[in-house]
Amino acid sequence: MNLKRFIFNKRSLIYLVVLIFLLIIPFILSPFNLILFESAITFAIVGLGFNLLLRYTGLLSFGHGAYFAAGAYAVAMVGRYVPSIYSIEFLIPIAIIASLVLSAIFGFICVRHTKIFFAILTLALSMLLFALLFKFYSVTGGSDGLYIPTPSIFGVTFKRRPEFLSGPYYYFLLVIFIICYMVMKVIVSSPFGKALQAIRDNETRAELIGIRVKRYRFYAFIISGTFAGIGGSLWTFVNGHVTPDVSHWFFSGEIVYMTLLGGFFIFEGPIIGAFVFTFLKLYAMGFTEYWMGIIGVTLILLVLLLPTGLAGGVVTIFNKLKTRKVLGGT
Amino acid sequence: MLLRIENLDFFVDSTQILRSVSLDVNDGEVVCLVGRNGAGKSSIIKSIIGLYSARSGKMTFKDKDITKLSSRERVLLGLGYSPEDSRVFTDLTVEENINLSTWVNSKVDGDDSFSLEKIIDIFPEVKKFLNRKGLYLSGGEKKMVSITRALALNPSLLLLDESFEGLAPIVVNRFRDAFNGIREMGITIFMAESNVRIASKVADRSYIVERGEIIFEGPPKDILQSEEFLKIVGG
Repeated sequence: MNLKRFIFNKRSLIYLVVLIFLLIIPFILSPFNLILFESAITFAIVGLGFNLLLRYTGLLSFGHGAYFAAGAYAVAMVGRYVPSIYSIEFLIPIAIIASLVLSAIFGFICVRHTKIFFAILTLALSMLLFALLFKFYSVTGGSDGLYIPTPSIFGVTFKRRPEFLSGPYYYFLLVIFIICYMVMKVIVSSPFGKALQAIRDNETRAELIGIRVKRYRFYAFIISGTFAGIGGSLWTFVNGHVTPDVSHWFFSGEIVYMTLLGGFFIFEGPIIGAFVFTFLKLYAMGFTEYWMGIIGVTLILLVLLLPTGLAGGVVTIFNKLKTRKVLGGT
Repeated sequence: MLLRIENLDFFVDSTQILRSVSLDVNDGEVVCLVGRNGAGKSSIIKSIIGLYSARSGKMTFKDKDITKLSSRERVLLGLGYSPEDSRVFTDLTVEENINLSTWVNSKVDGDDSFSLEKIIDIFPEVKKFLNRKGLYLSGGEKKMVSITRALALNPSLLLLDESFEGLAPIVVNRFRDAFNGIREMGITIFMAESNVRIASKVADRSYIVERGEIIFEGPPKDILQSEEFLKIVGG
């Protein structure tokens, strides 16, 4: 009976519908929009990680571009210096290690602080990385960045990038995204996730029930940074090129923006934000050279009209309708 | 002797809050600090749990000097604490609030007779709202959860800061019964309470705190019989 209830409950049906929709995406979208969609999936992974810090630990990072860059540059460096292992099954673990190590180093410094001090420290450290990537021209390509060749997937090679992006890579990306989604869901529902929420609510009280506050924050920081690194590495294959801009605070601001846009109070909020932001930004760029104005106005409207983001707004409307139905109103 | 405090001084900037406070708590006792609001009761409790750092003096718990230990180390040594404002984690359910301490501390010091079921039995009402989030609890319910959560780490000494504050008289009686249950579990209670009449119903021994100093030690009934003491504690 439990299995039946598990399979046929409302949530499982929503997951099933979304999964079917995601599976048929390559047949619906044009190649251009499919590439945008793939880009949005990589940002959704970053958003999932970012929200572990913001929603569940109460820490606002303005430097997540650094860990995104760590993953992206790890792929680029392997492509440039060790092309013999340039295969996606090697590249992803290498990117994970690179972003994990960088977030461990930066996190060690940052988690001793909270609020504005934490935000400024993360921003400063990401700008430090930006300076390094920018200045070490001989290694990183400086402002020109590095070219990302098309990788092989489990021994299958692709002659042209469009062939790679049109289908095989999309499904690979989808699998990684589902894994990341499930892993993050498990993390936030686990005792570790609950401890993070307790720390966010009141760190003194958390310490008084035996929680190692700084250590838990540190672990959350590493997990969050690693998710950004995974997103960064996957994004490089879509973009085909990486520059130091991804470690700039401006890019980190975009990660914050997409999380707020989707709504950080809801687990799926940053995912929705990543998709809306990716399409909004590109179409705004195509519409006018003052696209930043459109993004800015959207942010103002968001804060004033939908402080809980798009997902939060939908949930609020849904709850209101539900209450009205229960009360028998019109 | 379970807890001993000797000549404890505590300052906030240049203002002295606690003045040479010395007291003892024996195993199995219920000891109560009484005094007016602002007399220094909560400061003593917070100094014991490590939220306030003493400028001078010494605190020993189970014959171990805890003066320089962090709050977390004190908790793991066997001190439990339920603050005045309960501080229930609002985003977590009651069950998660209570279980969290046992989840994150793999080794909880205790005997085999200790169980989470047993501590929830202290306040059986808690079972009714185990799945409710902390945000949606009433004041009395929050206090029950806060005490139950403090008991989850199997403390030897439970520190309670104004646990009866703001409770309806019928709930006060319920809490009094619960205190007896806690005592039967072998847990010593050290509490701060403004209402001396309530203190007299639950405590074996009491200290009067006035302007950061201990000015009396003895049974609570002695306070009730003295007009001078009643004036001091606002009874």
